[in-house]
Amino acid sequence: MEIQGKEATNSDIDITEKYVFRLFISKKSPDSLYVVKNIQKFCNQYLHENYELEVVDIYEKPDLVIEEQIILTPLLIKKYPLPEERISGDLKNSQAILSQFHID
Amino acid sequence: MDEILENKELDDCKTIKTVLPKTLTGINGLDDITLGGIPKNRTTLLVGAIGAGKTVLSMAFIVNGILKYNEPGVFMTFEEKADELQINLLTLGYDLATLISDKKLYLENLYIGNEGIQVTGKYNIEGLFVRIEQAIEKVKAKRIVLDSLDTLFSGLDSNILRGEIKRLFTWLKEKEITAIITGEIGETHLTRMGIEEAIADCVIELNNRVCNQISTRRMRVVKYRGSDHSTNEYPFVINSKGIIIYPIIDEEPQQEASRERISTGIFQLDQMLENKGYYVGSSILIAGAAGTGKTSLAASFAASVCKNNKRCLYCSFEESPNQLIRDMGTIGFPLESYVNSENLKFYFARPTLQNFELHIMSIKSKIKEFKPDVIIMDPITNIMVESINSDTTATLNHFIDFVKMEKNITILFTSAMTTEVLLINPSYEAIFSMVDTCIMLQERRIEMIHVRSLFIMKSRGINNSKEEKEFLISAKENIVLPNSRMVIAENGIAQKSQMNSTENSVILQPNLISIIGNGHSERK
Repeated sequence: MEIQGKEATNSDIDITEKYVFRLFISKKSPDSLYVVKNIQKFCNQYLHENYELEVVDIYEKPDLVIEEQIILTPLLIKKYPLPEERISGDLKNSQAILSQFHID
Repeated sequence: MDEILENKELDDCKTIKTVLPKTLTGINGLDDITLGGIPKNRTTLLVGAIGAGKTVLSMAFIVNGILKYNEPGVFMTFEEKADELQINLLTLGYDLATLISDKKLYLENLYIGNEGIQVTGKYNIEGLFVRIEQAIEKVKAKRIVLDSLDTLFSGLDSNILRGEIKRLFTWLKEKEITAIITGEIGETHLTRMGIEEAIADCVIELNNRVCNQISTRRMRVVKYRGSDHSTNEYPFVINSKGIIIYPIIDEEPQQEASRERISTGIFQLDQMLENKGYYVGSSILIAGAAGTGKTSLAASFAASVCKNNKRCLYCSFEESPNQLIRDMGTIGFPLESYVNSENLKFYFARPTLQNFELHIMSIKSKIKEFKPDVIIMDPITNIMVESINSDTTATLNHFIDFVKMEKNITILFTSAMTTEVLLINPSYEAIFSMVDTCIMLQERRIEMIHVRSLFIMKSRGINNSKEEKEFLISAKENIVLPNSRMVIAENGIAQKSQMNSTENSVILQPNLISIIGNGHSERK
């Protein structure tokens, strides 16, 4: 099912729509690099090249932390396509991300 | 604290154990219960059900910090919108807007989406740390409140969360911030997340119980690591003057025992009390069933006090001031003129308006304003609506102590109770025993005529008359009428000359017959 879904999605949005993500991490946390790797792996696997990922260290951009109402880290925000959606955690579980972001 | 202890250790080994730095909350009573406030640079957990007063209490901690101790504060709310919170607290007298514009207070609303936070795998709360750090930096805060943790973290894995919250507490300690974190009370644990046992240094529980349709807020210090604290549950009130915890510790009643005396307002009653009347600063109870003349006796005292240019605070829980003025006017007490001369002030409140503690609080603030020499509470039993039990009598006892501390104020209660009631509810005994002087009023019907009588049940330090004396409440013309001039006369007949000589006061004549007299037929 997931393979079908992936293929369908890709053919639909491939040209017109790009996924835009913003990932908030804390560089103080030793796991943060691992999390970035997880999400990159996820994107490559399910979205191929069809995505943009911005990684933000919360200690570098504290204003953005307030603006985006960040409490938990790591936090992945899907900025586009709308609606904006969020998921927190180590992002190891691809299924959870797919279902939270309604990617099929 | 460890650091401080170490430093102290160098200075003075003997005092180590007693030094636990505390931060005053500035909340009346709470600082007494905790013997000096909550732990400095530590986190205190404030738990309670919805509506128990957590938000207001924690905001009072912040506002008092700014206004009283020059310690700026941060208030982070997860529940109420910041602007709504400002409006709500303005009604309680907290002007947050000014404090915010003065950069003494930083208010931040932590918003979590409707669905809460979706989580997969391990997470941390570094985001919160960053935000708290910024907030603290903005006002150079020394105090912070997080209200409430449950809302923020509902639905999250509690194992990870517990560790993260512990990290937060440690981090706040390093930042040298005194914190209050609120949480909703859980079913099995004190808090829903069960974070309190291991983590918080101080835990305070609030609750709000309803008894006989009247709700009473109560507070208890559940735990205070490294410090003594009172373990009792204390009633508290939230009103336009903020938060007051009551009773404010056990005041050791070391008040001066005055040897001065004050007239009862009734010549003959004074005579029964060594010709001198009550002790100044004592407490007096006038007890009797309905219609026995308690209010008239109280009013005669009030009038006498005012006449001697002293101040009397008359707390009425039955008749409105206007009604009292009218009724007592008919027996010759010009209460209205005393009100005008500011010798007499009324406090009038419906007993069911609020709970007993709240009444007592309001009266206390009136006492502070008006500084009366005499307080009358008529009838005290009406405001003890939760029924007389150990709770209310304890509050009453504290109140009596408080009054006595306030420079020898004499307090007179009336109470609708009889000696028979004691048999039904022994709790009443407590009221009898806590007062210094107790006068019992009775009414009996003899040959179609109601006869009132009084006797002094007890009077500490006074060799009082042991007789039971009849009295009449009668108009000048000496007609037996309720709400008329009060007379105790030999054989029930007041002598005209004495009536005139003691204008505008109650006459109580000495050498009276005992109750089974033979002069009843003469009485008219």
